[in-house]
Amino acid sequence: MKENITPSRGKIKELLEKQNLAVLATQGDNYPYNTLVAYAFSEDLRIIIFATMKHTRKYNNLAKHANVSLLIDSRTNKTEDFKEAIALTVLGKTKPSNQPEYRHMFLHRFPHLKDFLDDPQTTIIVVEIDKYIYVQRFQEVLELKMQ
Amino acid sequence: MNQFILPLNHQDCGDPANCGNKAAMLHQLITQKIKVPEGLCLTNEAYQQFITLSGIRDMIVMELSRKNFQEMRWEEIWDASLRIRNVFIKKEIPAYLKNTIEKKIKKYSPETRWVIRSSSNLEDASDRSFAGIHESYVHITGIAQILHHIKLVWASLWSDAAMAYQKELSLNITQSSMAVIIQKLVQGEKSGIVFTANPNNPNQAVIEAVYGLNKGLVDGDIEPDRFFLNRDSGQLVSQSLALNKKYCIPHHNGTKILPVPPEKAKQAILDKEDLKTIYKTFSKIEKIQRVPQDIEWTINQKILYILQSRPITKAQIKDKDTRRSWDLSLRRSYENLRQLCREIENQFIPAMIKEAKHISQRQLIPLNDQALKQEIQFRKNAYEKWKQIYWETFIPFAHGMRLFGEIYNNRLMPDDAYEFMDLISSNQLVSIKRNQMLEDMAKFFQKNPNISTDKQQKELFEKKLDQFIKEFSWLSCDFHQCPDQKESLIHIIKELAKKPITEKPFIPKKNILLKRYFQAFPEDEQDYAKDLLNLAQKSYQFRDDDNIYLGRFDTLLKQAIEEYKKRKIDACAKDQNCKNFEDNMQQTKFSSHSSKRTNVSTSQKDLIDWQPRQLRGQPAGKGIAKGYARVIKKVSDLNKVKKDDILICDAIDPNMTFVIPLVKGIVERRGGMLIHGAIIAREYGLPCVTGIPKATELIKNNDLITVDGYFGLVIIHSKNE
Repeated sequence: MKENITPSRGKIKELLEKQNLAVLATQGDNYPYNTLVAYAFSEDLRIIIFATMKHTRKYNNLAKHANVSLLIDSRTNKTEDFKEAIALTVLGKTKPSNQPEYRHMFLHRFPHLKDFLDDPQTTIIVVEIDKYIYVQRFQEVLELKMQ
Repeated sequence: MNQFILPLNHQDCGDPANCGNKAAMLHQLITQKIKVPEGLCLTNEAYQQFITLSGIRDMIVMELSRKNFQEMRWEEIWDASLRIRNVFIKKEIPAYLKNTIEKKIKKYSPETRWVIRSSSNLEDASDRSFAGIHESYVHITGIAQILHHIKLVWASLWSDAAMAYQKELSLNITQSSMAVIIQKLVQGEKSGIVFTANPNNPNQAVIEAVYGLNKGLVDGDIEPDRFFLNRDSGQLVSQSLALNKKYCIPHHNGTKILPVPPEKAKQAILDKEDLKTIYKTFSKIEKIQRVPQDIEWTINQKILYILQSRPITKAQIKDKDTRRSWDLSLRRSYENLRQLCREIENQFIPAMIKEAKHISQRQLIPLNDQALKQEIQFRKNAYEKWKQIYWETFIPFAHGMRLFGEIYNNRLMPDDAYEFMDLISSNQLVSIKRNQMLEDMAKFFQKNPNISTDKQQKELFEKKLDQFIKEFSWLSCDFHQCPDQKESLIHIIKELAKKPITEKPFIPKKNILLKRYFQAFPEDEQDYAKDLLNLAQKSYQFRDDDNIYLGRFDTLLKQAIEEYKKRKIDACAKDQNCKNFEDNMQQTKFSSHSSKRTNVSTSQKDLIDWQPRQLRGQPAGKGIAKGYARVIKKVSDLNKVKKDDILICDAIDPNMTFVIPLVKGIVERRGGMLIHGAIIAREYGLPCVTGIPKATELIKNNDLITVDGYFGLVIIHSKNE
């Protein structure tokens, strides 16, 4: 059954659809560690996926600490950003998975990353989302709990 | 290379993209040999350079990010506009731009008197006309004043009226711009406006005329003589002469209005020769422009000058959005405000007090049912009558505070755009007096902890309580929703007694501000400064008090309705055939003041799953407070307020503010600095944030929240789930 799209989910989905890249924050040994990742997401907004190679720092970090935060935003580097830009912080738990449905989801959005995904070193990371934090108009913060 | 300043007769002035529509039109008239006062145009590029280099562009974006235009109430738009205006006033024009302007102005005699006028790329376009939405300033002398008023005209691109019509004007930070016309003042003996086609009769033209400058006419302060001409022949068809003639003359850096001497007042302002000259010129202009025009003119020593011409459009005057038209009508002139003040103070408030007293003496119990129904109607009529006066007179008078704020900021250029509020606040508000009485009772309670067992103390306390109820019964709670008035009052007093009762904070700055304020006016304007301050203080005081007086009529009506209901219920209880008694008196039939105010009817649809963490509104009372939320959805919720709660309300009015001494902070859905919640918060020095849409729905009772009254934020730490 198709889930009803509430205004909050509608707004989140709109941003997720418009953007391709998210800033991923993982927990390093001494510092938080940020990287840019290409993401795809499930229709019900419960899952965001990205792909990484296993030798990367982020992958190592994830092996130790599964909890992550992602930032997706619509900034344009103009003053108008303070009025118009939306920032979405996503909190969730990760697990690696190479299930065909996730591969399909990722390639559907990024067909040009097929070679990258096919590399034996690459795995898909699934983020099961706990919470979305939606920031608009510079300081207005709304939250949506998924769990 | 971009030119920042051009003479009006320079060919580049004909380009509206460069110089705005008004300057382009004047340039066109000059090229057609129509007499226009000599002047310069500061181009759109100058405005763009100023807002970019001064950082104002970024500041405007931040200001506009606070809330969607569509969600803003009039007061919020005015507040945003005032803050923007203050930044324009405070920022220096870049040196190279300033030097360019100075160089051009210095070519004229230092005694030259100027008019500084707006010429935006929004107004006066052929498909729309929003006359008066931007500012113009008459009789400005000296380079410092010219530069100051240029900034005021620039700021008026973001006037409250312009922002209210943001959508229609396509007002936005990237495309909107403001050129400024710096034009020699021609001090006409007669001035006026021509509508080359009378909106009520297309075969006629209407000429409106006043003595002196036409500023008084344009602002609506002076009633003109009207002359109706046949459009084809120029023959005078009819005329109507103003009964109470006044005229406007230059005065300091501005103008003033005086009465026309009686011998002159009876004459028609324009003679045949004047009418002929005006007709000839407007016919020529209309021929050039090809559409009917709205033309401002002046006659100086028999020479007719055209000050402005713009197309008459269908969009002018008519506005389908009546609420917005009404909002815009609230902008009143100094003259009009003085008149309103006299009416309110000398006529309406005494009459309201007298009438309410009279009605309260009419006994309900002895009336039979028929007579009681008539009494309800009588009270309803009284309430409706005063409600209408409230909307027509009391609310527009609140503009007195706005006018004062603008003049204060112009003259004193404070860092805080709301510094003026410290000068006009007053502890004479009826609601404050009422609250002081409540606090006195709480103090009594604190000093006498054995009140329930000590007979003497109990009696003394009861006496005080009865005195309060006698004086403020209609304020203590809504009659029909809170039948046990005494109980509710005792609850409030007990809660008040739990906290140390301090005197209302004194504003030490007030005397310093007062001194600075009067120093900003020259000797012969001291009386004006005094009058203006007095007007603003009254405006502030009445803004609060008038609700309290109106609330009295509301309560008197409800008392009668309650009596009627009670009889019906009693009768039903005695009648065995009467099952499931339902009151057939529709509450809406007797719609009343406070019940309407607290009725929240926002759709819940879009609130289903968002959990608010941080909500942005307007800072309306400085300070930070953390505490538990008490949400007021109906009047009886006020009786549940506890010490140190944070009050969350939709729209507080003075009849509800008796709980304010109890609370630590205020959050209100309705936005603005001049609303009751903000006024009372300021009086008590409480942090206050206004303009949070759906505040009473997004925040729940006992949510732990922080009110940041500096930036205008409400942070919800933990939800009561």
